[in-house]
Amino acid sequence: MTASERSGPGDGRGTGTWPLFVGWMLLLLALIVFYVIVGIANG
Amino acid sequence: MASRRSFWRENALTIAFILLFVLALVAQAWSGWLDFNEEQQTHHQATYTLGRYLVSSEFGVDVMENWQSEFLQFASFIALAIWLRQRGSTESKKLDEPSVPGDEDAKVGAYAVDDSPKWAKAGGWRAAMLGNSLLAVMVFFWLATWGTQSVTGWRAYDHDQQDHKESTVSYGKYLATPEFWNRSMQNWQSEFLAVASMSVFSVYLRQRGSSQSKPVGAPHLAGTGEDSG
Repeated sequence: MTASERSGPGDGRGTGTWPLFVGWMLLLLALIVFYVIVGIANG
Repeated sequence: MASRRSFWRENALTIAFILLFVLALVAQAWSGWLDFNEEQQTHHQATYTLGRYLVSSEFGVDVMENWQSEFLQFASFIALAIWLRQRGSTESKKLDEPSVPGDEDAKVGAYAVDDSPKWAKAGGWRAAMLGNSLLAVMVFFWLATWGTQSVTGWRAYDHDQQDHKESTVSYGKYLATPEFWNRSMQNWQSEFLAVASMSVFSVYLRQRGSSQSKPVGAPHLAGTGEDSG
């Protein structure tokens, strides 16, 4: 049984899509925060 | 193995663009570093190592000025497409569709289907939050990246001023400089150009097989799913 079959059609997550969505958003946020710090620290 | 294949199959479009993003960012870092050091040498200033360049405001502002305009593009596109239409475009709803659909068309609350997200089924404030989340997140990322562009741009501007033995400026003063607005506007204009192009090109042009195109034989002035009206 694959992950998508286990999760079923109703939860909208798909095979690894939820981690991809959250992971991508967190990566963007981390890069933004990093360059805010670079700017504030006068890097 | 089967699940690994289906992970790729189900997410290939996103993963492919993330890989392209990483490759282009690495190439930008490398070429930006070489360009920065050439400038420094021309002005008899100290050069940076690659590691130092990656944590510099100069690299930060070059990355963020482009990011902010991309998020502005999607935020403005998502928002304007609620009320404005382009007849025959894949990017537009149909002329006679309501600007903001009622609960039945939006499938929220009592009209939710079995597979609807929990917050759509719940209705009320949760359905309202979910129903505006795409625009809200795009606006958030636009403002966050534009703000980051302004801070890193300010520091990079001051470094330049110091290199030229000129006085530095406050953050507030930097926001009123032509430099800040030139960086912003040169990116904004290209994003608006791209959306206008896609909106009208997709009326008359086709790419067989692409989700971004109407079927080859669809009438020019019919939007997706619309008859020839």
